[in-house]
This record gives sequence, structure tokens and C-alpha cells, in this order.
Amino acid sequence: MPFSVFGLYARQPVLPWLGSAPGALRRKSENGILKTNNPEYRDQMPKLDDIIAEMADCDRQERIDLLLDYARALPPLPERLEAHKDASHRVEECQSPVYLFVELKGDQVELFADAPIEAPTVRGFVSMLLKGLEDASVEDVLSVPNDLVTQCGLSETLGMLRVRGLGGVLRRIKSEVTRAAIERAS
Amino acid sequence: MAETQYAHPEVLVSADWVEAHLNDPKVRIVESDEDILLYDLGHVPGAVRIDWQGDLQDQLRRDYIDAEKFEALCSRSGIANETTVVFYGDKLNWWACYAFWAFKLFGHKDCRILNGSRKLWMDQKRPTSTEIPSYPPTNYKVQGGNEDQIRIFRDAVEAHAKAGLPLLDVRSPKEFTGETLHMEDYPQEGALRGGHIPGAKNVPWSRAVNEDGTFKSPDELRAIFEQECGLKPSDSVVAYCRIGERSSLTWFVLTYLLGYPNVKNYDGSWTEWGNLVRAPIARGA
Repeated sequence: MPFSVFGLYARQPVLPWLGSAPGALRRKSENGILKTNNPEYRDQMPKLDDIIAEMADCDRQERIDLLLDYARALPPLPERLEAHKDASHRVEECQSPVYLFVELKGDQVELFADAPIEAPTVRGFVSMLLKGLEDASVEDVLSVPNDLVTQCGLSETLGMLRVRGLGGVLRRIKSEVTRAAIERAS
Repeated sequence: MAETQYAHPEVLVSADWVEAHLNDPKVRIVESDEDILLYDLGHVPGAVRIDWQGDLQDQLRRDYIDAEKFEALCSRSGIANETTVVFYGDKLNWWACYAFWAFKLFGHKDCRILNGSRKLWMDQKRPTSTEIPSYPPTNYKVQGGNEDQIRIFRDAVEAHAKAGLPLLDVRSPKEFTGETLHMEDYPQEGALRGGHIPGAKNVPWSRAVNEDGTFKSPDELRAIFEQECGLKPSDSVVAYCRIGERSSLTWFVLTYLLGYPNVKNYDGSWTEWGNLVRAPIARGA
């Protein structure tokens, strides 16, 4: 990569594409920080919020079952992407081989992922994110709360030591979406 | 030939043995995994799940549950004082050995390990179930633990290291040298300094296990721990890793497979030592 995604990400308010994303300015608060608790905004991103709420309401076993359902439901990677499961698409933070692909269609983000069923926790989490971020915009993705794993109650169920790889998946999705958006803008 | 025997062969059971005892009320099969969803995906029929973190660790202090909670855990898992408990799990039985060690802390008598781990069971396409079994509660009573013999705390570890007694660091070579603070591909778990306890020898835990999940032969194990590391059965040995999980497998190998009577697991391990103010640290190979 010719530039540091995280370096750019840290300067988020001045990202060159932000102004061009539809509705971007309207959704920005005065200090440039995206509002995720704004009710109007939340209406536009109901899926992931519903999933978070459902997960948070579950007891331990229900949460495990739900995550397993997601793990089983992860759609296979499109054939055209199978050949590209290489280091550049692998999520480094995960001990299991997890691959992520981000594509943009207009402002709409399309996510594809692959993770082995032998690693059901991370596969389930990835699948949950993909479902929750179906039809999401670039900004929707970047506005996903960074403590999503905890908000879902997964830190409690899985234990702190196990959830850090999951946080890595979310960070990776965000950085890839940022990169794709910058590429499109340039 | 005596040399080809494990010191306590009865603690290892084969997959055939487990399959023949699936409905034996005197036997309880316990799955302990790193990925806790694996159990729900399919487990040895009748097996209960015991989670190293959610079930065995105290949720407030960094410690194990107390005797009362252990009794409750055993009772709801259908484990009585005289039950034969067979542990198996993912990661080549690393968490199974951790649970085995924790059960020994509370003095449970008959603990065994499924040789080959979850991997061998699945690879051989042996029967599995997604049904979560329930067993009548038992009247489990902890009868004096083994903690003094198998667990060691930081001050004693420092004295052990100063006395030049054998210390095994079973983490990966890069963690040992201090190049990284965690296993490759694993998340960092919060140690401020990298390196190892001075005097420790680096023997990554996985060297004791074959790729199919079974333990190496007694002769292969002796080649590693005796010819290579210079240990002898009369030694007092301390093993550690990052949080005491990988080293519980090494503890199991030395204690039960090679018959060393004086091996302790330092469960504070690197996440304690690497954060201790003024604790001595060595870097490099």
C-alpha cells in the first residue's frame, strides 16, 4: 500500500471524499464527528442496529446459538474472488484465515468474506457484519461503533481475550472501505 | 521395553476408548475449547462443555473459581467425586490440558485426556451431536486440592529462577526473545515488556504434540526435554507461557507422560511477569 490507511483515517474530518458522499455533511455534527446516536441517522441504518440490539438482549447460550446461525449462513465467496484469497486480503488480527473484500457500487459498499467453519466465532461475527451492512453506504460503515463487539454482549460471552480478533475484523472493514473510497475519489 | 511406555499411560485414552464409553455413567466427557462455538457446532455425544474462561476462572479477580463454585460446576455437569473425567478440545488439547490442570487444583482424582484431541475425533469422522446433554446433579465435594504441588506464584518463581532451577518458557521463539509480545497471529494481551524470565529455556509447547493431535512418543518426548533441555525426573521444574494455558499442556506432558513428580505451572505467566515492576527480564535467544 503506498500510504498509511490509518494515518489518513486519523485525519478523518478532512478526508477528500467525505464532502462528495451523499448526505455526508447533513449527517456530520458541528465538530466533524459522525453522529451514531442521532435518531434520524439511526433510521437509515436499521439492520446493524437491530442485530446489535438482538444480540445484546440474548442470554449467553442464545447469543452463542445466534452467532452459530450467522456462521452457518455466511454465503460462499463469489468465484471471481476465490483466486484472490491472498495475504493482502487476509485479516491479520485473526489467527484463523479470514479474508475480506470490499467493493463500491456508487456510494454503496459491498462486502464479501470467507472464514473457515472450524473457526465458528469469527465466521459468525463476519457473517453478522456482512448481513448488518448490506446496502450500507461508505459513511454507514465508518460510523459503525468501534465497540460493536462489546455492545453486542460478545465480550461478556467470549471473554476479553477472545474478542480482540473480532475487533480487528471491524477495523479491517473500515480501513478497506476508506481505501476504496479514496481510490474512487482520486 | 520399559523406555517406550508413558509414565502414567492410564491418563491418556484413545478415541476408541471414548467411543466405547459414551454411555458409561462412570465417565463424563468434557470439551474445552479456545473457540467456544465449536462445541455447539458438534461435539462428542454426551460431552459437556467447560469453558476455561467462563466456567473455570473467577469473573472478578484474576484467579480460579473457589471450591464452592467448582462443586457447583461439577454438580451441574454430572461429575461426582469418583467420576472419570475425560477432557478433549481444539488446538491439540491445549485447553483440555488447562481444564485438566484446573481440575487437579481442586484435587479431582480421575482425570484423563483424549489422545488426539477434537481434531482427531473430527478427522476420523467419529460420531458427533449438537444436543446439549443434561445430567442429574451430583453431590460433589472438593476434598483438599493439589494447588501447592502444581501451581506457583511470582515470588516463588523469582526464587526458583535465582536458584538456577529449571524453568521452561513454552511460548513461541519470537515471544521468548522479546521480538513480539504475543503469539504470531494472536492478539496482544497486554504485557508491557517483552522477553523471558532469566534462565528459562524455550521449548514451544506444540513440540510435544504430533500434527494429528496425539502426543509424541515417550522417546521423542525424552529427546526434547532430557537430551535437549537437560531435565531429569528428579528436577523441580516450572513452566510458563502467556497466561498459563500452553504451559499446562507442558506440565501435563512432564508430569504424566514422563513421570516428573515436581512440576509446577506458573499461571501468572508472561502477562504477569512482563508487567511486574523491577522483575528481571532477559532478551534474545
